[in-house]
Amino acid sequence: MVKVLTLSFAASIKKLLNLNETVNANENEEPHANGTLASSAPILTAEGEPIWKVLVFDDLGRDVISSVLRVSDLRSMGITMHM
Amino acid sequence: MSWEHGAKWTSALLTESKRHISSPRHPIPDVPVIYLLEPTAQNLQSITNDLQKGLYSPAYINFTSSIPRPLLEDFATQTATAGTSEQIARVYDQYLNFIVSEPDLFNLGMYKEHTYWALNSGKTQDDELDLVIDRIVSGLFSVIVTMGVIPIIRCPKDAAAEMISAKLDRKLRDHILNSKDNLFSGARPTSSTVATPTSRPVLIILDRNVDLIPMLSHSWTYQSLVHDVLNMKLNRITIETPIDENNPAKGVTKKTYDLTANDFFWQKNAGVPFPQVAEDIDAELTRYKEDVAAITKKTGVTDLDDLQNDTSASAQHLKAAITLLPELRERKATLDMHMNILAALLNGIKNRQLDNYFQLEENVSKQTKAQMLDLIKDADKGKEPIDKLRLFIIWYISTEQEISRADWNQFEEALQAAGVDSASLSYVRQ
Repeated sequence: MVKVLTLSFAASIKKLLNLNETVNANENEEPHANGTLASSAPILTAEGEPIWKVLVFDDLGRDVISSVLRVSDLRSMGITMHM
Repeated sequence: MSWEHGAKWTSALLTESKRHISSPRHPIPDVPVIYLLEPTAQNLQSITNDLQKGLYSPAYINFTSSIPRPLLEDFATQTATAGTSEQIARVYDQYLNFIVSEPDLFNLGMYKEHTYWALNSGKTQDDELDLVIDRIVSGLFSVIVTMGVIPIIRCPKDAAAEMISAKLDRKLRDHILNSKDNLFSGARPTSSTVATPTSRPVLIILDRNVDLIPMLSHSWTYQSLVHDVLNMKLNRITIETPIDENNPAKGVTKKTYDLTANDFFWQKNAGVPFPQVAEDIDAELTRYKEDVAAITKKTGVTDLDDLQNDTSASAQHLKAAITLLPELRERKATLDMHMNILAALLNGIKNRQLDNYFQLEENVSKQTKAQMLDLIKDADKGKEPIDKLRLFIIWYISTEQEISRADWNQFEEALQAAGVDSASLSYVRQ
């Protein structure tokens, strides 16, 4: 059951970082055991270019994201800034 | 946007170093912004301020939990007055106000609320208590939504656990009865692995007070030592080492290490007693060296026969070596990190004599009053007075001996003399 939680948790975060568009790039993509996303393709524009995004959070939002994603993961999702 | 454009954007964005909602931020027009915030009046005001200044557009606003109706209405009014509605793309309730720190562990990230204190102190106001309980209920609700299956809730009678269970139960029922899009009816992202309705999980809610000792005891496993001795938060370990051992005024250097789930050494050793971890790191280092030696032997020119007789075989070895290289390098980096962590731990254990405390607590209830008093008075029991306090509380909770008022006063005095902040003692005595 717990595996479900970590997978869904990571999936929810990934989805929100992709502006809540469902990414159907690879359904079988296996996140690591703690939900860290192995590869996270950013959503693309109609021209096939990545969309850059800014992320703004409060303390809780920061803790939620940093528990599953590292700075490099964020960058690969098109979130360009880091602390 | 061309790639060069993208690169330029990136560098422009990188100069913007902080994204925390409370810090001042510079405008980056035409770049979508994702907000991930708790739905509070203050945060909503900050969003409106950002948008009014035209910092970014469009905005995707995600709330970590479902935004209460009155707040949403306030926000709508604010948005209308400020004329920022065009910049808002969507607003989402996310049900993400919890933190999954390990595959089999989550917490609600309630650091600010001082939850235990709030639930147990007589000084907590009713409305404060309600806030904390609502926050717990909302967090658990989010966990359940994310699991995608409604659990069977069990809890003991009385106290906070029952209140939380009742509220959670009501929230779940309300949601299923009243929501147009029921969060539990749709297929979840990992629906194939979600349990069928016939196998619902059981959610057991307990008060921390059922067993306080684990919070205080000096444990001897790798993971708990890292928590106790080093600074670990959200799977990130920070180690401070003095620049000059003999001159603490020169300050410290900070090094941080991230524990990830694919860290094979952590997976294997997190729950293992410290001395065994130290043995295992040696074994792993030897194994690494052997693997490296095996590869250099197979591919190196030391093995001339291979090269002369069968060139395709040596090419094969070379290929094998190249595929193995990244794994080896990663393994080495992991082992180096744990070497550093273990070294820092060893230092901490020595300074605080944690091995001593661990052994004492193993059969703490056998200690007599006089032995305990001697221990507390012993100046040679590590640098952290709080360790003495922890030991004493554990002993007090688990001993069957009568502690008279006079005994208690003696202990309290001795602890104070040892430099302990004894504010917690009166609560323990209750």
